[in-house]
Amino acid sequence: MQPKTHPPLSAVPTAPAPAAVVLEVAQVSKSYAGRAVLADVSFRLRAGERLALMGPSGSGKTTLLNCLGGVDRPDSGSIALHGERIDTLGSDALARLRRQRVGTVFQFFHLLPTLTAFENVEFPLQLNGVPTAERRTRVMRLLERVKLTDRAHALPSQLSGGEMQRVAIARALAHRPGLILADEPTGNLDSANGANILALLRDLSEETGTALVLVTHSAEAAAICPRTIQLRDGRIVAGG
Amino acid sequence: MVAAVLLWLACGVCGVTNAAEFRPPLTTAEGFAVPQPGRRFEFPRDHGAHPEFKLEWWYVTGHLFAADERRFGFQATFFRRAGPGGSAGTNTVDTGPGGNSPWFRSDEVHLAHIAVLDVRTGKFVFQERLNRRGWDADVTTNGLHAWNGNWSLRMTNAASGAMELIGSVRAEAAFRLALTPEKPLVVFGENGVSRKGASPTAASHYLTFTRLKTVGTLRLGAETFAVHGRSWMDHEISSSQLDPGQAGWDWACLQLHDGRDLMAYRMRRKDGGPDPFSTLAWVDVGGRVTQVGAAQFSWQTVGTARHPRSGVSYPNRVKLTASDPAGGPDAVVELQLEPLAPHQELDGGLSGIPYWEGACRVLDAQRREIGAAFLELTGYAGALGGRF
Amino acid sequence: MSTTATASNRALAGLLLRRFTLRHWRSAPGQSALLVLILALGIAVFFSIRLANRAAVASFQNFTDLITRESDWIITAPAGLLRETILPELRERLGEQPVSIIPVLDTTASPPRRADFEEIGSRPTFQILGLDLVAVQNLASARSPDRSWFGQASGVDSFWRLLRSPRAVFVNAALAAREGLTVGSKLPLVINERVVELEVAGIIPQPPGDPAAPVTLLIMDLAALQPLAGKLGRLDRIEFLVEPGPDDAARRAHLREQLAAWGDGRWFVSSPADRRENAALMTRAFRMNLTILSLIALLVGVYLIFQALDGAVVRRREEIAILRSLGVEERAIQRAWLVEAALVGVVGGLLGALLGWAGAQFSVRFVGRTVNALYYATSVQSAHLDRAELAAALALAVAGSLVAGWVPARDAARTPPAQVLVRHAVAAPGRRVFRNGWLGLALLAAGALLAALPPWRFPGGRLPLAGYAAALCWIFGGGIVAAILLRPSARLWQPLGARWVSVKLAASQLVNPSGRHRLAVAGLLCAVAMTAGMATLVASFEATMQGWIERTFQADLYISSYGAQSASTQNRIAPATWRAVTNHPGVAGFNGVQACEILLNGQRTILASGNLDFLQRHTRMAWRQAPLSDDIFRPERNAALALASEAFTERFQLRRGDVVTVPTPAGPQRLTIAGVFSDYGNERGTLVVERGRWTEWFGDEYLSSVILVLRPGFAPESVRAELLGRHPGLNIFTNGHIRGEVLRVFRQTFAITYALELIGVVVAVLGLALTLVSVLLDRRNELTTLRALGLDWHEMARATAWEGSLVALCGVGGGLVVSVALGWLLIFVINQQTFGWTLSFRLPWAQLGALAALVVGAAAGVSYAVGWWGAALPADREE
Repeated sequence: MQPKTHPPLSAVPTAPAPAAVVLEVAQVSKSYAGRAVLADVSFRLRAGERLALMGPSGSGKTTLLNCLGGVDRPDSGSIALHGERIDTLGSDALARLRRQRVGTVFQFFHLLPTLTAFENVEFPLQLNGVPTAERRTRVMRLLERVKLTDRAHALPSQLSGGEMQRVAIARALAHRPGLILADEPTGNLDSANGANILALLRDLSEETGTALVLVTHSAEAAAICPRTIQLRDGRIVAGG
Repeated sequence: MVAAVLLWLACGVCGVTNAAEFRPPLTTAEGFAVPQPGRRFEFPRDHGAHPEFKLEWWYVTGHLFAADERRFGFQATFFRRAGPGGSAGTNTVDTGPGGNSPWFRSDEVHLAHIAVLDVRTGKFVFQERLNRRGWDADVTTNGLHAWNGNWSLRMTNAASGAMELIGSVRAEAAFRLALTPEKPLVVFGENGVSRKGASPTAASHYLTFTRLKTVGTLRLGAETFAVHGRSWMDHEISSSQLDPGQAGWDWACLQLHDGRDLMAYRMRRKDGGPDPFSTLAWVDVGGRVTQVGAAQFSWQTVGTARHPRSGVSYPNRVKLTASDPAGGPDAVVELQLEPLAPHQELDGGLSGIPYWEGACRVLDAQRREIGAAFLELTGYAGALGGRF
Repeated sequence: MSTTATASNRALAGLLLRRFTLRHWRSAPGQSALLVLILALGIAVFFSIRLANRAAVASFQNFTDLITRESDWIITAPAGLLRETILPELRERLGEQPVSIIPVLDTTASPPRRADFEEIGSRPTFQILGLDLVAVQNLASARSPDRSWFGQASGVDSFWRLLRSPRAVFVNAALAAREGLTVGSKLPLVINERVVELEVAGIIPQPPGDPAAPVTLLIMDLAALQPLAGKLGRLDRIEFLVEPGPDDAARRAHLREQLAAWGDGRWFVSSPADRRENAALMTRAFRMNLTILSLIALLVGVYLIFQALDGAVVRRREEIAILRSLGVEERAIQRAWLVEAALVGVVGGLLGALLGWAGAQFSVRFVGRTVNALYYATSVQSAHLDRAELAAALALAVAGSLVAGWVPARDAARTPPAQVLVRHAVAAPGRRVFRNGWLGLALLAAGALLAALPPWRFPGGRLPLAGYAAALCWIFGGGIVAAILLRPSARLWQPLGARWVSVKLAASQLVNPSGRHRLAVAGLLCAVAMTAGMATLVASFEATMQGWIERTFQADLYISSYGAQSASTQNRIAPATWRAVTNHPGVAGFNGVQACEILLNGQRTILASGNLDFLQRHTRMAWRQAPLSDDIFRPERNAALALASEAFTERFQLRRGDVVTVPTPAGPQRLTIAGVFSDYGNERGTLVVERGRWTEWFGDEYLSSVILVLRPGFAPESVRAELLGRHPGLNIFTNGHIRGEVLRVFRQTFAITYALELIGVVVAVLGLALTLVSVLLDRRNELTTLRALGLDWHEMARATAWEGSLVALCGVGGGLVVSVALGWLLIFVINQQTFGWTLSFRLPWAQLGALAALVVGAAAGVSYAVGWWGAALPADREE
């Protein structure tokens, strides 16, 4: 793990009191074409906690992640984010959810190709109507934190894999969500970059008190999370 | 357009010519007829047109009165002008190669003027119209029927000489009048010929009804009036131009309340000197004519008025002083002409000759109104000599 | 906690526009430009046709208006000319009313012959107006301070010289400048059939600020023009101007009543607006058809825009998915794409308007030439920018783009967030509508029903609206059915796939065709059907024309005035001349034809006359309803009989045996229609009577044309040369020449359809290319896999080529089938209902085969190229 050489972001008071429950998942089930993808999944996540979801392919961890992010909807059970049910929200409300309360980091980075690194990080803030001056400050601080100030005006096509993921992480945190969802964030990176990314995620989660749910099948990645849940055939078989 | 009569002075300052020796040529250099002394006129035929002559006009002016003390003046003139190529002595004029149709002839053009004056408001309207001889404008050669578009002058009763005059000024004014002669026709001049200048071809036949009882309707704007009054009608036949040395003329016709009429004519020379052919003629109650020469009357300008549109100044307040045949041999009468409205100019847009033709009142020396008159002033916007 | 504020909709729209739309456009300027250009072309064609139409209509003027500033009423004879003698009658009846009466003579002339043989219509037609130049000066409006009729020449008696000159003419300032004319210059013209040397007397005086008289207007004194035009004692029309002033509206109305009452059948009353409206009506059917054709160009542009936007959505799907995952609502995405479409519309519309205006300067000549040949003399040279049309074109551009972009925008909005976006999915099978075979069949049936309906009749013409609707139904229905047939045809190919890998790949794609494939088939079918249908129409027309010409033109020499260069020419041949011509020893027989326009039941049509027995002996008439007896051909027995052209009977809905009452200067005449013949010379209709009757009614023996049959031993060429030598003002065609000329005039009027056919083919192939591009983009992963499997670029390009060819085959095959139906529709319904002409059906096999081969070949070639490009696509990584 790399030593922290950049000022933490904890100066910004964003996180709620450490004990608050961020995510409450209760008996969530989902089937596709008769086949059960998730069965009776329940767990609770508190603010600042880091949770790893593990399991073989086809175990439903990606589906669960999608449900948590409001991209998919369980057939039964409930998911509450900061006390609010999100499984019953409509499409627009879910979009708002993604815009304001959840940040996502993808395996394939998914940076907007026509925007520079700076603009990519800035985007969630613009969506949320943050005034220009404040935006600038926050974006620069984030880029500093992920050590990409000198690449602020590069397009994604000019960045390496590791750099792109760092921009993605900065973007995921820009709007100060209470929850970060990461789907195989190191799946497309070499081991050195991967380790850096994982360390970054861990440090930032601690600094900002943002909860993290990490889907992975790498034990290394899971290592940054104190908690792990194992899924098999849609059921929790360990952790929880 | 209207030329005044030129009288031979039986005696006078400018010299005497023996009228009996006056033998003008039969035609002018252009081939048009020259008025011959001793011509026999046959009426009603000679009230009509005489194609062998170059210039001819029928000119009617008058004063009209209506209820509520409304008073109007009017003028209507029908003018015929033949083009070059007339044949001497015959009744036909070569129509020229362009004239294949009898309805669109190129041998003559007909010009007409109509003017109406509303004395109360001072509004003066006039219209000019030029047409070739043809379906829309012509004058019959046998009896009087002259028309130009929707204007016409027609003798309705050959025995009495009664006529009907229809005229209009665009859509602003219109009149239909019945004219009945109160005195017989007067032939001015010597032996039926009135000379205008020194040249023997410069002469005309000058026929006039000096007093016509007039009754009819007049519409001006939105109002229609039943009118009655008195008119004067000239019919002049000639083929000649003015003397090149002459600038124009001032002419007046007066109808006095005592039943007498008077016609006076002052020729003006370009050099400003007096012209010996000026004349004045009295017509008594019975229609007998007494003419006096230039020495026996004077024409004085009392006032001028500058016409606002053309900028031309017209001397339209006039004092005539003449011997009065009704009084004794030394009786002299002073007649003042005052226009009923100052700006009665016809702008000559089509003819190119602007002139002033206005209704006037006649005042005696004591400034009492003793009659009505028409005053015509020409040649003030450029000399006419050589053009007319 | 995150910030609570949310960007407003407008700010979001602006953000999406700036950061995405515009950046994509900037990064691929070529593609964006192409998109805009496609729309611009469609708009340009539409706009230029509209401007040209307007110019052609505006070019018809009541020329007298230039002098009199618009008369109040005009009287014209229902047939022939007015007699001069009604002028004094009118003045007398009007009495004191202050009304200006303006008699007008109106005739045509053209410059004299330059070469031995010239095409009809290649010389300009001059309009000579005869006015009473003296009287005209009394009109207040006619006075121009700096110039009058008589003041332009100088010298003593210039007035009388001008008034009496039998040859003096006033010309337009532009003509004087162009030809270097001054007062005294000679201007030779062919008036009627003689070359007359006119003398320029000056420039037409016009009040300053008024629109300039057209270059082709000449003015003479009426008295001088009458003998030249052979109209002694006659007038073409009389115009009336009420003196302006208090209650002139009431006086105007009163005057009309009076004129109508006094006419008693000798004349009818109209206003200048009526005459303009009439001219517009005459050409309305023609102009509407042109507009509809030009709309097709626009529709095509919209279709291509749709394809392009659809492809763009596919290419940027990932970006959209990311935006969705970042929390941008569906509505915002949809709006952003609609804005992008609208932007294309605005820019394309503006560019299209500019191109269209430039193009109008060319298309106006084509339209003008056709109007000149078929309807009335016009020399319109330029089309000016009309604001209303510009606004309409822009609105159409934006509307079209929005329509085109609607479905792609909706698709974009429905893109799931990035997490869910499955990149390996099979492309959507396509919209419901294209899979519904029943809808397709229903449309075909509806089309058949519509094709049986009669035309929509309006004053001045008829428009086959039901026919056009049927065409649309068949095109859409056919498209749906052909799209459905894609799968079975692909199955047919599958066995071949056993041998060739590329075929196998292609067939496998098409066995489950995507919505894009179906749309491509439908698009191709539409383009091919329209193109082939029009080709069929033109081929049938030409075949019919050739047959008609063969039968109708059997004589040796055809003579008319050289000045007859347009449909509304008034040049005719004087009796002295044609008697001299027909007295030539070589003449065995002749037909003297007279024709003039008459007003029948409020519509303008043509009354003609000729030697009907000549028709029987020397012409093989194409009868629609042959005469039942020989009476019509015997001068002693055909006094109350007439022959009618098919266009005439269609227009007035008459048949053989019906009685029609035609106006003539000698009063109304009752005629029984003895037979109906095919005549493609005009669509206003012609009624033909014996020449002797014409002379009785109209009182003149002038002829419009003379047709000669020569004795054996006399060669047409030498007789022609002799006659031309003696009468240089005539135009004489030998049999071969006239046939060629008639055909040429007709081909000219179809020139624009050839252009549209070409556009059709280009569009079809372009559409297919765009389809394949987006399809390949969708299948990018597959391509990587194929490459990994060892397929080289050639193979992949060939696979795409097969795919494209198969799609093209379906489209072309269906298109040809529908085109036969469309051809039938165009010939027997649309054309018949619009013009009343019967054509024989002719399928241009060679042309259709060439078209099919061209389209399929081009499709294969383009598909190969696209496949090559697709093979070079990088593997699916972040861009």
